[in-house]
Amino acid sequence: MTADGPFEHHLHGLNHLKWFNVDVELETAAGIVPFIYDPANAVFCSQWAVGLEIPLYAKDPMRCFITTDHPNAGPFTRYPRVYSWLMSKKTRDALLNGFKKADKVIGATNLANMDARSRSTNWQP
Amino acid sequence: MTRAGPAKALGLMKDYGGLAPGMNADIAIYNINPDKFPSDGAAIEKAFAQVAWLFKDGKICVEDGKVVDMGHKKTFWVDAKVNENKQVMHDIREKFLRYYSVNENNYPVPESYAPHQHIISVDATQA
Repeated sequence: MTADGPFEHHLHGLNHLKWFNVDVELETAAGIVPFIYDPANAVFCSQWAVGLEIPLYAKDPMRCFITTDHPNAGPFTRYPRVYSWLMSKKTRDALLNGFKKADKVIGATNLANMDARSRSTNWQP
Repeated sequence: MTRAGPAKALGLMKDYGGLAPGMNADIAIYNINPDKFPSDGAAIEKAFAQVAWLFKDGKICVEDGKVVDMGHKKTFWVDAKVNENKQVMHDIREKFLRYYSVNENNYPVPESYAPHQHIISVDATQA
């Protein structure tokens, strides 16, 4: 989702899915091109894994803020699902091993080797 | 305390991101026991998907899992005082003229789009 008509046209050219736009030529004319993370596609699965590696590698979790750039890349109502991926190694491993090209994704990323992190709940400002 | 980091990054630590007298009472309470934190992803997602209690500006908005009030909205904006820079203004004007279908006079939104303003004043003239 973006308010840039010509860029929506570019995205539509990438995945050929249905493109909707309010008005392509006006400023902030918002539009949507759906993006589906296909679990059979190794590139999409790696994108998902890299997105989780960034916060999990953060040295100071208090300087790591959850955002999906709502609503452009994902609604904030999905934050609990992102939390579950970040907080449960069991969940991450189950998803990783369920991908069609699991070996390729696990080989290309470091998510499978990362330990379950326990987040401190008694942090003081 | 999940918003303490963002509050600090945005320079709002005086009013937000903590539980202390004088701070803004925006508080979400989840029905989770930190000592018996679930390890299963579905249980974590379920736990964070619904607040047990929610306070906005000290007003109860969610009571025992039920929405009872919408609370009040605020529009935050930064009023940054900067020195005039003729080159920057020239470049912005040129970008509008060359690439935009609107111009700099009708680009700003009217005041009515920003009700209940919370203004963060920043003096960047000495920077």
